[in-house]
Amino acid sequence: MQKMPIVFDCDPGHDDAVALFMAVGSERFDLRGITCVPGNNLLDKVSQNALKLTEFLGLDIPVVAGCPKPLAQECHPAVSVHGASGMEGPHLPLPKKQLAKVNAIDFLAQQIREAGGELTIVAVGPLTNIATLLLAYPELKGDIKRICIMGGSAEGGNVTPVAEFNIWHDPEAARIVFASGVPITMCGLDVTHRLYITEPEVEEIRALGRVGRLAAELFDYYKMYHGEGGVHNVIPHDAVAVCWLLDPEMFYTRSLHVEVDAGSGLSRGCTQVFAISRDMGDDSVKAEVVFDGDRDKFVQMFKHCIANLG
Amino acid sequence: MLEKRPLIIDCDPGIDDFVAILLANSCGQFDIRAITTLGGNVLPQYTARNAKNTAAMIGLDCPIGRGAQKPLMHEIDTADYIHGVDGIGGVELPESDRPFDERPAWDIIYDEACKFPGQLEVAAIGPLTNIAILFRKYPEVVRLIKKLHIMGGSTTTGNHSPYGEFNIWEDVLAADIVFNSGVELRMVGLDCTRQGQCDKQVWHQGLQKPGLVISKLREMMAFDPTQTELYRQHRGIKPPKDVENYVPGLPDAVTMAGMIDEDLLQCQKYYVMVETTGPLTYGWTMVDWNMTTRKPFNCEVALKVDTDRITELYHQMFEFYEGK
Repeated sequence: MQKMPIVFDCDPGHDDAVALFMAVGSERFDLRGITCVPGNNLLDKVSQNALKLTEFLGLDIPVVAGCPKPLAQECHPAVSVHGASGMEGPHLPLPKKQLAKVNAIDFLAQQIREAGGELTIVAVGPLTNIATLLLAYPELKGDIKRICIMGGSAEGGNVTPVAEFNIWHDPEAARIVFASGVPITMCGLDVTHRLYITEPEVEEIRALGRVGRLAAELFDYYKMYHGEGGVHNVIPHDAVAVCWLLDPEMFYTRSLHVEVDAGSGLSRGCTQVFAISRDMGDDSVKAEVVFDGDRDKFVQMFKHCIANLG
Repeated sequence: MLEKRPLIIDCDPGIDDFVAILLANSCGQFDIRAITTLGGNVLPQYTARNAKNTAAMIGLDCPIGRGAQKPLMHEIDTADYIHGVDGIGGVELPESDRPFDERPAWDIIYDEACKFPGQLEVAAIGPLTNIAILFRKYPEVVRLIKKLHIMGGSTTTGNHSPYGEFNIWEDVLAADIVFNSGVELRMVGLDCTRQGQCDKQVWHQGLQKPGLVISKLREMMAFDPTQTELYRQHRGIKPPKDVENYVPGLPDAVTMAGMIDEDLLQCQKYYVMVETTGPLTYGWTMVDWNMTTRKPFNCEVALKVDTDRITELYHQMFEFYEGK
C-alpha cells in the first residue's frame, strides 16, 4: 500500500508526542518532517521536545521551528496541563540533533510541491504556521491534499466556555485556515473527549516496549490534569487526528461549514459549526467535522501502533 | 557624496503612490532596491502594472514585485471610487514590457533587508498586508529593517469610514501585526497628510512644465472621480472639481517627503493601537495620548507638516522631470 505523505505540525506536548508515536508506528505514513509551533509551550521548548522525540524514535527527518508567536497576540503556554517544559514527566536526554536551518514556511511549501498534490498536513497545534503558509503561498492551496486538525469544538471549549485551546491560541490563524478552501478535517473536543484511554489500558500500553513505556510515562503526568473524580482517564487529543487519517470509517464525521470567531467578544476562538444553513448554499466552504468515533477500536489501534515501535 | 539610502516602496498605485514614487526617484537620496505592490486602492493586477509602467517611464530600473492579492482575513474592498478602476484615473502610461520579479513581495523585501541589515528603509504606503506576511514569515526581519514609514491611520478621523483611514481599514489584522511587531515605525496619518499641500502657485506652475512624466501627472490631476458613477454610488453627489485651482492632498507623497527631508514632519512617540473589531471605530489607529495603558511607545506619530519644505520638494521634483 502506498504510504501517505504527511508533515506533522505540532507543539509537543504530551498528546502531540503520542500522536507522533501513532503516526510513526502505524507504518502507513511517509513522514516528511516536523514543524513546530508555539502553543502548549513557547517555540523553543516545543521545538526541543520535538527533537527529543525524533531522537528517541530514531527518526531521521527535519525538525523545523516555525512562527515564534500567534498572528495577532502573544503566546499563552498551557503550563497547567503540560508543565514547565511543555512535556513534563519522563526524562528524555538532551537532543544531539539540531533544528533544520530552513524557514518553516518555505519548508512546508517545498514539501507540498514535492508531494505533487498528495501532501496531508497533520496540524495538532495552533494554526499559526499553516495560516502563514497559506498567506505566503496562496498559489499552493490547491496542492494540499488535506489539513487534518486537532482543534476546535462544536459544543463547548476547554479554555473558555466555547473555545478550544489550539484555536483560542491563534483565532486569526484558524479563521484564515478554515476559510481557505483547502480540504479540512476538524477533530475537535467533541470527538477527542470520547476517545479517552483508561488507567488499566495505560498499564497495557506500558508493557508494550520502550515506546509504550514512554507513552505511559507521558500519560502518568498528563492524566493528573484529567484526573477528576478519581477517574484517571487520559485524553490523547492529538492522536485522534492521526487515527482519523488511518481509518475515517471508524468515525462519525459530517461535512459542515465552520466559521472561527476572531472577534474580541466572549466567543473569541470559538469554532462555530453550522449544522443547518439556509443562506450559505452548496458552495460554502465546508470542513469534515468529526463528532464521534469507536473508542475500543481507537485504543486497539493506538496499542497496535505503539507495539510496532517496540 | 553621501551613500544612497537603500529603500523599498511597498505600494498600491494609486495616484498619490504615483507621486510618492516620482518624489523618491527625483530626490537623488535613495537607492531604490525594489517596488513591491499589493491590492488596495485598486485590484492587484492594476497596482502591479501601474508600478511597473511608472518605474519604466521615469527610468527607474529596479525589480517590481507583486504581493498580496487580498487582505489577510477578508476579501478585497478597493477605493476605486477615488482612484478610478485602473488606479490612475484612466491615464495611459507607456506599457512596459519588462517582466515582474517572480519573487513575492515579502521575499524581495526580506532578501534586501538581509543585503542591507540595519540600513534598509521601507515606505509602506498601501495596506500593510505584504509587511504583515513578511513579519510572520521572517520574524527576524523586524530587527533588520532600519525604519518602516507607513502612510496609514489617523489620530483624528478617517476617509473610508468615520474613523477608518483606508490603508488601515482595508487590512486591520495586518496593521495590528505591524504596530505590535516592535519594528522601528513611523505612522504618517491622514490628520497629518491633510496639512501637507504644496503651495498652489508652485504646484500649478510645475504641472505646466513640458515632458511626458509631468504630462501624465497633469492628466491624473485633471481626473475628477467625484463625477463618476462609481463615486456617486459610494459618496453621493458632489460638485465637480475646480481643476484650475485644485491642489491635491497626496498622503503617500507626504509620507515620502517626510523620508526625504528629516525636518519636514514633526513627530512624537506614542503607543498606538489598531481597532480591529469596534463596530463604530473599526480601522481606527487609537493613540494613547496620555499614556493610560503604560505600554512602551511603538510608533513615531507624525503630527505636523512644514508646508514650505514640502513645497520646496515638489518644486525640485518638477524641475527634475522637466522635459523628461
